[in-house]
Amino acid sequence: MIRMLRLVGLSIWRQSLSQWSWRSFLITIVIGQSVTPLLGLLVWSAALPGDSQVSTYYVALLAVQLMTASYEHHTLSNGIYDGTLARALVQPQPVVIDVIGSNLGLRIWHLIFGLPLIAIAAVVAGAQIDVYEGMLALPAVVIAGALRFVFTYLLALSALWTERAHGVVGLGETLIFLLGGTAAPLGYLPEPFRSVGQALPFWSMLGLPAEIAAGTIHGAALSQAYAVQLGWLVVLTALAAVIWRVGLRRFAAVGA
Amino acid sequence: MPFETGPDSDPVVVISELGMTYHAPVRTAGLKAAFRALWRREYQRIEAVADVSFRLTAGEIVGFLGPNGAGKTTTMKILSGILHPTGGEALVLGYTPKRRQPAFLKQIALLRGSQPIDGPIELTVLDNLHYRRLLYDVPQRQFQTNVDELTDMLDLESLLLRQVRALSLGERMRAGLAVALLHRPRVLFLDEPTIGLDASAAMAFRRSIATYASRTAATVLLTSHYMTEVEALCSRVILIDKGRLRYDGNLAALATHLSPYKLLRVTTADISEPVAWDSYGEPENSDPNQCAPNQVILRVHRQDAPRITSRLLAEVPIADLTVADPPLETVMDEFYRAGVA
Amino acid sequence: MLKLIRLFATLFSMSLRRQITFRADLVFELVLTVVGLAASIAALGMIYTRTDTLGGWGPGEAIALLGTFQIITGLRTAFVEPNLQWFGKQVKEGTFDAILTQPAPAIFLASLNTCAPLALGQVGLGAIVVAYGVHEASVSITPAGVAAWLALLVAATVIMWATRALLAALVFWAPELTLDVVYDSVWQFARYPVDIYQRPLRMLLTYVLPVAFLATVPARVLLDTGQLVAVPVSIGLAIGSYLLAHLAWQAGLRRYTSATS
Repeated sequence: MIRMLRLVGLSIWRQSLSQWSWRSFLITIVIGQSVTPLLGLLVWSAALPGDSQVSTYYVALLAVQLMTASYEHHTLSNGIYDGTLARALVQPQPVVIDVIGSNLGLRIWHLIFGLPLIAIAAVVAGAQIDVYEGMLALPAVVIAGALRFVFTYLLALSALWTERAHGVVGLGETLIFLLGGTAAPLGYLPEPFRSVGQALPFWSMLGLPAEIAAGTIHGAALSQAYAVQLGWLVVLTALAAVIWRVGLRRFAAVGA
Repeated sequence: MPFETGPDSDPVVVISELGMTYHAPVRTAGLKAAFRALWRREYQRIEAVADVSFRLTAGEIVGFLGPNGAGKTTTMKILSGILHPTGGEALVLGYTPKRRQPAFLKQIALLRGSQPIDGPIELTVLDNLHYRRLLYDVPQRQFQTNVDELTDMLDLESLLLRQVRALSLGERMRAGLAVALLHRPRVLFLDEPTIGLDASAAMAFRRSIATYASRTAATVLLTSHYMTEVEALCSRVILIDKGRLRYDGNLAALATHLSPYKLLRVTTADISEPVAWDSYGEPENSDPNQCAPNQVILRVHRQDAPRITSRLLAEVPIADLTVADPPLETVMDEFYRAGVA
Repeated sequence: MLKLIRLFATLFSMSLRRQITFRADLVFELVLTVVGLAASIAALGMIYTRTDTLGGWGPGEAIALLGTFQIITGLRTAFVEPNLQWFGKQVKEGTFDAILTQPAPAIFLASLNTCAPLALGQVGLGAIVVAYGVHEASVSITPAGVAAWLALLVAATVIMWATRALLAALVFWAPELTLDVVYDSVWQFARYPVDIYQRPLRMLLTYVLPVAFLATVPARVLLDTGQLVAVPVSIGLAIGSYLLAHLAWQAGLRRYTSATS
């Protein structure tokens, strides 16, 4: 376990350094990640002028989006397509370590390059994030990050079966956009959409931490939301492990 | 035949004092240097081509040689209109390439071994040919004749209806050549065309080039790192190194020009008697595949060759003696290595 | 010009014939398009559960605008993106050199060399969405309005192509800079009426970046024929952006230093 953590740490270090070498492109993908939360902020501010809670929510959502950004369709699927997966399989460490390393490296850069943007959005939109509520949201951000990684990883594994992994991941992102709280804060939806949305995994990946930070979830609802989040993490991780094993058997047989 | 008259003897390609200089940003490793480079960039002047002049006439197949980075590809790109030279002049078929006039582009073709065929890979070879027909305004009847001819010459029959993505490298090269020759270019630039091909595919390719050139009197400029290829196709070679012209002339005389040595292959009549070969010249590392036990190859300075030959004949019991230039492959290797060092 | 059109028509029909042979791809592409479009409409619907009007646009009108946006996006995905996406990489790998040796203007060959006909499904679906939006908005549209809308769609297509080509030309000056993602990001602002944005942003998206002319202006003219003055403005803008792209390419090719040696 300690060895795994050290390998992950080493991988983050190596990956983030190599990511720095294409920093100008990194900045553009940070902008790309920011555009849907920012559009949500603009549209909802126009729809509900003077509602400071919705602005606060979307600024928090922007931060969560950057901290949970996942690109496994590029790092993993493309590795499967161009054959680098075969090389990774030869190394004496689980393949997933470098995928995690590059994911976390990217998220670190996303947060660093995104901070000015978050700050500007917060000032312009008049967001009010309470320090205590922000702290409450931190564990949710971590779990959301893990959840979104596992979800994207799972979809990216479709590269072992089809040439269209980018489309599959794109489909997943559409679902996260629609049901995860970007298209609309789930709390603003009429029932039963709200309850269904909160039970699905997408909200746990993105909207939940932002709602906690914006202070719209308290008490029993909060602990319930955490339970749902952890539950999905266990389920999706188990699923990803199974799919990986099946996919690897296929990879070995077909040599994809 | 330098005095032959008629339009065909007009030079097809003329370049004089051609030069190409780049300004490339210098990058130093490390985070700090990268940060510094954000606002202050250092540039380095790179002379890819400097003061190169030569001319090619119709029907010539000329080998364009030089080590990697010598400026061969840059020169070819200038001649085909891709790059604008920073100095000197280039004329191809009377046109200035960099102006990229359609009338000019319709008479040339550039084929690169690294990218034999361009365009969408999901199209078939025949689709590609049809597209080129429209692009190059090849009349329908001419198109049919040319396709038939190319199909025959390049053995395309089985490839025509296949998608480019599904072709092997050798097949891609054949298809690429067909696409490049469809509009019957009068000037053909071939940039390492057989790189990566297996021996028989490379030989078939060379045959096709020779056939095309003799049939259409096209001018061909060919870069290649395979001396067998150059020897098979070109009687004239142009050698450049570090952007500068080093040799332009007969292929046969290239070795003489480049190498100060001759090789004496001596066969002794009596092997029982040891000979102090060192006193005549430098014995080559004798390759048992090439030398019989009673043979030795001596490397001697060109001007010493006659004297040493007569000494050998006088002092050693000789069964046979031949004087030859070193193999071109070896000469080029020495030349390139001297350049790199 | 006629030759170019023939060239692209041929290329298009070839690509179409190839693409429809992969039925699984066809279905998958359709699913992607439908899901994406449904999500956009649902996102709009969610907003209109809390308000009746967004920047002066009712729900039906906003849907008609979204459909217009989808049409232009479909045209972009079908014809322009397959060529100019990651253009810097093409230049770096030397594929662009081949285009330069061909006897037609490089800007056209580079930007329209290949296409993805399946993406035209987005255009069809977009048209359906427009019709649905118009129906929902229950405004009566006139033949003049439809004609003006079509003219503005053509202008928007030209603006899209020209700005995309302009962005690609950046590679001649700054080969390391890849702004594809930024273009995409700005593009997304066109899916809502520009009227909802705060004043400085609205000015930026109208006068500096022609985002407003992609969907907002055409949809507005379709729904309210009183705004016909937008037609000449938009066409003028299209011509202007074409000229700008043309000049940028000319200047860029002059200083082009091919990547591979």
